[in-house]
Amino acid sequence: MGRGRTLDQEFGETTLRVLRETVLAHATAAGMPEGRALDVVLAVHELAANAVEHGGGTGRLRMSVTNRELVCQVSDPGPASSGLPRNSTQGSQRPGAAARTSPWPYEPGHGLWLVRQIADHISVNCGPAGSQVTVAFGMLRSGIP
Amino acid sequence: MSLLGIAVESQQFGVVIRLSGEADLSTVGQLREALDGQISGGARQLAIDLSGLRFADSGSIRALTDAHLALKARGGTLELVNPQPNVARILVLLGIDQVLTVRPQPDSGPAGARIQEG
Repeated sequence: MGRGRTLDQEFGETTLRVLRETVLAHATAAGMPEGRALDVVLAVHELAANAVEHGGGTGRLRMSVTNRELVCQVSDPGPASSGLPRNSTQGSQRPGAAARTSPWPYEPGHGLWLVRQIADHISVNCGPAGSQVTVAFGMLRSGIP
Repeated sequence: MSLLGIAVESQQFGVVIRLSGEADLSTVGQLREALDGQISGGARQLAIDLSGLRFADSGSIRALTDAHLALKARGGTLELVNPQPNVARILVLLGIDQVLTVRPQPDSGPAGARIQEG
């Protein structure tokens, strides 16, 4: 059980907790050590929270598991599709490459920065049609000792 | 119903805020309100008891570090007490243990923060 299974789940601000529970259940069922499964939960949560806060309020997680790695893709439709613009996502022109290519803050202590500290691999794709961030975790590495 | 429980208790050395449940984007406004309320109400020594908190995200931790900075500017202190492994891990990842005091036990505080017998 667990190998090769996939998860496809939509989320919003009020369903982040359900998302965390679902991710933990899937990661542990797939054989991820518990400490590392909690890292996966944290990474997915931070990406999902970014999607909710900066990407239009909702998003979607697709998660798949192979023998070697667990891959999570978090996508959002982008701030343009939101009926409720939040904070300064619109017209934000802060200096720095990250700010120009992504509405998501990339600073020490923020979500995307944190995800880079814990994922084995990350790729970020941002554009007018929204953001897709893919993170991968090796199945053998442990997290909390 | 909120995911996050916030209980405030005034003690001789300052104010203890006990957090329980889970702290995320849906509760960060509530957390900031509680912290700001204590600071604007005059509290200068804040201890945040994390023993009942199962999860905290970076935005919630940022609310705590912002409160720490606000208190520091007013000559006060904020310390975190007894984080559980899941929350302790994010504190280490974010380097929070380098910025403010994180104590493992409620009763093993530094001399300046000891509860005085009354």
